[in-house]
Amino acid sequence: MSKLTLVLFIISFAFCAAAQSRERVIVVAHLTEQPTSISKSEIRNIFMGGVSEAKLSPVEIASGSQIRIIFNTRVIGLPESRIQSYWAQMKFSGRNQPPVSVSNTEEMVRYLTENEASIGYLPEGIALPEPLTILFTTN
Amino acid sequence: MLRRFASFFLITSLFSHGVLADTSNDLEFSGFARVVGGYLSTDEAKYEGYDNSFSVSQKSLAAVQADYTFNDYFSMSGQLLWHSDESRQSGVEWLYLTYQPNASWQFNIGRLRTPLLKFSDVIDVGFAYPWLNAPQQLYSGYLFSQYEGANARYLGYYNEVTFSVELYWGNFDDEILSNGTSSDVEVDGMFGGVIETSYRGFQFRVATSFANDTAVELDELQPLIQGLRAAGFGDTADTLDINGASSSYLLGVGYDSLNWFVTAEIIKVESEIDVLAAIDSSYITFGYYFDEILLHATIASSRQSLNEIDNPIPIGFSPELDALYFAVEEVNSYFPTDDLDSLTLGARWDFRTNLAFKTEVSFLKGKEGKTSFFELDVNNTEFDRRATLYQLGIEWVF
Repeated sequence: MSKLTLVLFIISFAFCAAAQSRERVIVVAHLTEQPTSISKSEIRNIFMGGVSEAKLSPVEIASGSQIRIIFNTRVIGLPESRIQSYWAQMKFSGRNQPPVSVSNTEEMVRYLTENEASIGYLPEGIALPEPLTILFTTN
Repeated sequence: MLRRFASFFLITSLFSHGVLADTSNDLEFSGFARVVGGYLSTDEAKYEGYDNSFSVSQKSLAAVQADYTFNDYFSMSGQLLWHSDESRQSGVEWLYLTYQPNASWQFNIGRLRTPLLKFSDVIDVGFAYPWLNAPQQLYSGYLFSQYEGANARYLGYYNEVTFSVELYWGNFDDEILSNGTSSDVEVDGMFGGVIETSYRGFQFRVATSFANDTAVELDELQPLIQGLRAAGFGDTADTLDINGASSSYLLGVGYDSLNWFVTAEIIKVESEIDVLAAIDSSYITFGYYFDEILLHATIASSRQSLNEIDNPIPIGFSPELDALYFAVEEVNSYFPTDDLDSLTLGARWDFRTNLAFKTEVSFLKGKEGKTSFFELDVNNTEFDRRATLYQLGIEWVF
């Protein structure tokens, strides 16, 4: 590999990383009542198994997806391994069950559309069917 | 031993081949397993069953959990646990019915695990916590790990603060292993409560546990108790009758973030039983994440104030009285005196979302003349109560 190729590779990698870090996530819900605003801490609470005024059931995208990593980083504020060990504790102590999991964004859109009072996350800019409302956008 | 490991491979291979995968929407199977190996640097004592030969038969285990949902409100859960350690009982660890009328309330009835410490009710699920060996000064086996009874749990929130309140009541009747000695323990009327709050990354936990009537059967002591009564030393005999109340108080704090965490717990155990001591134990753990790798350090300590038995028996009057005198002295050294300081350094690598590899080293510093959680002859003055425990293992949830 020549020096020029190496430099171009590093520059393109840096641009990719910067582009990835700029990617934003929208939190979307299938609401049955009038849209309300929802805070980041309330979303975190819903996805960590707590109760909230919104009474929404969380849906997550399976591990390994980039959109999940961004959501965990910017909304939940915990690394993937910590979230997995947290849910092992909740499940095997009988206290709570992890959110419903779907495999990709298409499945997430379909699940949210078909299930009232569900809440999930998607990449910003994705086309949303009518019953879905954006409640929050990450930085 | 081969038979015990055969059970382990049966449970894990059934899951590997999907035989026990979800069978319907109402019935779900899941489970966890761990294989842990360890080596202790000394041949003068054992610690947590480890000696100075590498062993995987102290902490390895596997469990299957079945959850059956009857309807929106009622469900039933059972957990079958297999231990590699022959001194721990394998079998039904959990079996309870749950009633959940809404998202805030949950009621359970059946055989349940005691929720005193942060990881008490998942102490067998190594995947749920950072260490291979949770700080023994707090998580050692002689606190009542499970009970048969009921609990009620309430989840709530106020602005950004979330909280849970849990109350439980039940009875305990099991064999407890402490420092290599097993005894039958029966607790009538054990109850307690836990309050947990969290605000952003901060967590705060207080818990209490009260055991009204604790009765410990130690058959080895019966001849001595009878001998003391026959010789007119009824008061001394009474102190050996292990029957009374005990109470535990716990305070825990923690902070979790994307890159690091800190967690600490402090527990105080008090007992009106003469020969059981008051214990103050605590630990603090700091961890830092490098992507999937977690590096952590834990400092833990315990101090036990033992109520020594008064020995009023005169010596030199008769061989029978001399024998009783020395028997009481022997008993004085029989009960554990677990003063121990430790530093544990460890690493955890989550190389799959449900598999973690762990390794850790614990530097143990006990006190001379005390058992310090070691299995040893307490009169052994050769051993300075210092040892290093090396462990590595793999944790799996499925």
